[in-house]
Amino acid sequence: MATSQSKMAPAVIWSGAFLALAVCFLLDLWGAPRIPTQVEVEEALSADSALPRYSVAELIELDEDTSGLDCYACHEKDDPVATLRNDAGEVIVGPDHRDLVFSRLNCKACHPEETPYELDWDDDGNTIIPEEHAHLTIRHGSGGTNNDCMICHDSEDLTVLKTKTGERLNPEQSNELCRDCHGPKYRDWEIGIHGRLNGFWDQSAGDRLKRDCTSCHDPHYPAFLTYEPARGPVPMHGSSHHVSTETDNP
Amino acid sequence: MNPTNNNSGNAPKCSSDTRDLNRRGFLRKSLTGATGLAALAASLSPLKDFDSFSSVEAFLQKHYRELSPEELKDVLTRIESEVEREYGIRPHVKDLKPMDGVEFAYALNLTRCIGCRKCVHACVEENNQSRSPELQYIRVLKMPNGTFDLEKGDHHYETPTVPEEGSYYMPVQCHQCKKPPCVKVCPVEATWQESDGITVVDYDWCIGCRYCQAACPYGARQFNFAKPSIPKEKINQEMSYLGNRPRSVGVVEKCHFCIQRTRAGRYPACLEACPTGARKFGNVLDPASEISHILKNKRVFVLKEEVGTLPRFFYYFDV
Repeated sequence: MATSQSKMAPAVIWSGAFLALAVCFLLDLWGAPRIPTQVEVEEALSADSALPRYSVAELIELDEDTSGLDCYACHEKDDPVATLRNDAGEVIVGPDHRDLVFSRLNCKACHPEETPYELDWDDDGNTIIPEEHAHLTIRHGSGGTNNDCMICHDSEDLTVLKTKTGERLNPEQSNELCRDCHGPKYRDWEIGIHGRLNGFWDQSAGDRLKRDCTSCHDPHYPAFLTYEPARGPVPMHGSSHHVSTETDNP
Repeated sequence: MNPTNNNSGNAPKCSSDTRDLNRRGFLRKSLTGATGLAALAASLSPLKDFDSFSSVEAFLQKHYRELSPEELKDVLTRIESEVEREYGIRPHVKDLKPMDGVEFAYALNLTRCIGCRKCVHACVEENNQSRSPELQYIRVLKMPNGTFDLEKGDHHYETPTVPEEGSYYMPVQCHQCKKPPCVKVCPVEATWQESDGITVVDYDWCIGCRYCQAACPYGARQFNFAKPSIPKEKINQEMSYLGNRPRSVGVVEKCHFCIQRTRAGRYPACLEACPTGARKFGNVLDPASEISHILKNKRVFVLKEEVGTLPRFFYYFDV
């Protein structure tokens, strides 16, 4: 019996060792990387190069409805338009102009098709503009001195733009108008340093797509709005920084 | 001695003879043996996940720079069928060579960057990066105004809107250095600098020692600790050998200026997605390119100039 047990001993020890090893692997005792259960896949809205809005030239090129840009659908041609201001000196924008601005926004640039947005209309058929987009007081420049419509629009014919030197331009030539005041920016834009360029850096391989000033900037409110940032990195191991989910937000 | 003894119940007497097998001895030995074998099998079970080499050809493959054009073609076809097997989509795996008279450089206008992280996710989509665990090439640092102290940067910010008052945002990715420390430390030459300035990684040659990750002063390199997972519908089919083909576990990867795009003349994905035009890219050897103009006329600087890596990634402020 004793001999038999001594002969069995190595087998028992080895079995025990392998068993222990198997348990270790099973319980993952030496910390093979643990993957967070599931990382949310960020939607593609971040990846496309769509513009937040369309310039008039782009609207015409895309064959979109530009009827909203015809000032004389509402205004009388012979009746000169005066800029309305409130007591604080801010320009008052009529609700009709809101729709006009809104119609040129490219909603899909920020709202992916997976998360649809719904538009509401009031009794008069005007779009009810969500609070996030209600920046519809005119603010061109911080001083408030540029908030007169007639600095850029021709008071005699609202459908044309007027430069400081009195040159009259079609709305799709608005870049030339911006140049009047923003010389250095226009110079950089011409070279391709200011603003977006898409497509090909190698112009023998393909075209470089340059955008108009008003493809990115709302001329009535040229400063950029704030964005909701795409979500940050998800650390592989647990960390105090974690993805903010619905529950994290109050 | 006699098999019939097994039935006599006189076990101690018989068990002393090794040639003899009684029931108890047999059961004990076979049970121990079976347990031992099972334990051995279980302890070796991690090996079943060892799929670094999908085939003999993959195992015997030469270094990228030693491949003849025919061999390279075979390798590209093999990668295509591997991707097809795993994701059910036949990709187009190419190997674009550096162009003559082209050296890439990148410039980023920090005044324009608003920290929206669109570049980060555009990069992930373009370059077939692992979604879970998540791996990103671009890290957007939110920095307090008035300092370049990177320790004060936070890349985990989750503010409801950006940009925030009092902060600026500084995206950091591979700087494609002219003197890359990551290349210097690689023990197997799995990473090197190409003639157009892009530092590339041969994912099939990388042994995963992570020396390069430690050597990089910009934290640009990422290691695949776990098997990368990409949803099938998110696979970008336009792939390149040194670029965005799917990686395996245990290799290092990093930004390669979207080699599959830029060597075909296109802008990188991060630039295309930038909503403010803060990112500028081009051929620095072409005096008419916008990048040359920026380097000539704007007050550009590089990150951690003192470490002497000579980055090809420039930052500037331009009101």
